[in-house]
Amino acid sequence: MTAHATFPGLLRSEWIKLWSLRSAWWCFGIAIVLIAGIAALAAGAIGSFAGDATGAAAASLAVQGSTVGTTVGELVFAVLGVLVISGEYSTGQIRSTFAAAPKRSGALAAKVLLFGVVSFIVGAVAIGLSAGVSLLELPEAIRSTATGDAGYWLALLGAVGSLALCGVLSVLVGAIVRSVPAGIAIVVGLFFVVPVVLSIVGAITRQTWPSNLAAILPAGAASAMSSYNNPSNVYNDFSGDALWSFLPWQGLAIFAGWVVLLWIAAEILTRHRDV
Amino acid sequence: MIEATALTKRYGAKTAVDAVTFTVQPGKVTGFLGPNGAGKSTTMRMIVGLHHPTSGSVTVDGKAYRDIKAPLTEVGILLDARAYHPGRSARDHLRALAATHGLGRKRADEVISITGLDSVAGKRAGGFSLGMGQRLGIAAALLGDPHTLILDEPVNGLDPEGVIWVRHLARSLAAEGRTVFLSSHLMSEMAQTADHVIVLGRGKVIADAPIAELTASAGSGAVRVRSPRAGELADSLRRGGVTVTEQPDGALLATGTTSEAIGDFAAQYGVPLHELTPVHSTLEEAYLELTKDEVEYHSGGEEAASEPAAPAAPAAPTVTTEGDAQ
Repeated sequence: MTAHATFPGLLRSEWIKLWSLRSAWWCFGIAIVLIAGIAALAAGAIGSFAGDATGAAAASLAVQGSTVGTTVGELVFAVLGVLVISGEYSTGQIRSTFAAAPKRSGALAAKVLLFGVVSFIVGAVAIGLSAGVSLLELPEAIRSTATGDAGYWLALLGAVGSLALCGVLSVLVGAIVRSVPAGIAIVVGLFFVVPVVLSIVGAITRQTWPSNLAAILPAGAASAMSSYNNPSNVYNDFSGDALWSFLPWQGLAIFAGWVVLLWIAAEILTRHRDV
Repeated sequence: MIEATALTKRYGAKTAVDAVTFTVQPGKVTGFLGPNGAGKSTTMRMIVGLHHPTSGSVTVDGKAYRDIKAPLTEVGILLDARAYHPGRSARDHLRALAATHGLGRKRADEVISITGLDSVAGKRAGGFSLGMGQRLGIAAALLGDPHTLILDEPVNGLDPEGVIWVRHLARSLAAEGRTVFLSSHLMSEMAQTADHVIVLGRGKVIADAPIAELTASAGSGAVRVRSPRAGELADSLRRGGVTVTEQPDGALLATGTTSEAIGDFAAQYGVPLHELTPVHSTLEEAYLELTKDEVEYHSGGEEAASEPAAPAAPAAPTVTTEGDAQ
């Protein structure tokens, strides 16, 4: 037999594993419906007060309308990301996975990369639909301003990227905690609870640090990635008193930093633990 | 060939596997026996790198498992715990595993046929009976047509037909020159399958021998004798230093001697013999004898573990006769 364990083989295996469970079909299906559905619901409202916005304001409005469902979509991607790996630990599947890839790093990398790529593609479909239904509701003037603005398309790409990175980050969290409930609690907390708590703390203390801390957490980085480069925001002032604002590429860099950090932790733990 | 050298695994203060050294040879079925909790599963998991040894090492055909380039084609493993996702079909599980080594759908379908899973291969594995789950585990182990097979409690949950199937499978794989290492806590199962047995008790190797040798050595041989002049024969034998006990049916059980010696002795004294039968302890008895001090979880105190062996074991015939004499 001329069989070899190869990285493309591991990717193929992860592809088969992902689509042979119902959870992937459900979660990706729900994410697409939610992202496009929320955009459809919000489009009417945005269209009604868009009025005669022009230039950057028009493009910014179009970005908001097209990516309004991203945050909720991230939640669904995050849950699936945790399931993809914690589910293996909780069921015992991980023993088969690691028996076939005893160095383990390759199996972890294949899982993370495959889920990231699939999330990116599904995210692109969802954001594409979302943008489509949103643009149709906007006045012709705003629509043409937005679609003629590279910043609009960059924001959409950022939204898709943030969905994919959310999935990747959740796979890594799942690899670290190995438990489905704990993993889901952590990603939901990190993306939805912590930012809300920080904004409340910020409102009470009237300090800038809670908001700045929120901005460098994954959720903050994700929203920076899908934001329209608004000239009214002050960028690149990271002094203690300033309210930090990040450009899309800076959001991407921050999110990538989180991914690298968690990947290192997941790699070390995965390699050393008994399964 | 599997070679373990001073292989040790500690969980905190508890030593699960304590410096075990053994070799599992190709071309035969090697049984791995021991009471529950003796460290069999931990040892098997260390062989395939799922558990990391605290110290010591283990290799398969001279290589550490994690250094094997195509592990599925060299070692197949069935674990005692479930190793598949219940939401996935048996076919998809096997295809995903096969894909890691570029083995393809055809091979997945082949092992499905070999293990008799054809009719349920498309169903979610979570609905499988224990026996079906075992078959799926064995199918996964066979996927890469490996030279070494490690099967942890393979007959667990199988119906009688399945047990016989596993027995034949293990024997035929060994006959092809493969290394077959299978664990069980049931000696009777090993007696019918294994050529060689490694017995583990409380994490230590307490026996490592061909099955025949183990039977012969444990529990000294005894000879059952019937004679119309039994009383006279018993007295003469006792004078000759042989331990003789009367059996309830009037026969004598002589220990510490051979049937040849008794036959010669009887001929010399002109005592007629109606029966002269060497009594070998069964493997089950030999096993209980070996592990009686090593059982970790006694059922109801110290005596429970050794007691079942006593009535049948020729090694301790006095227990029987003392009760009967009154």
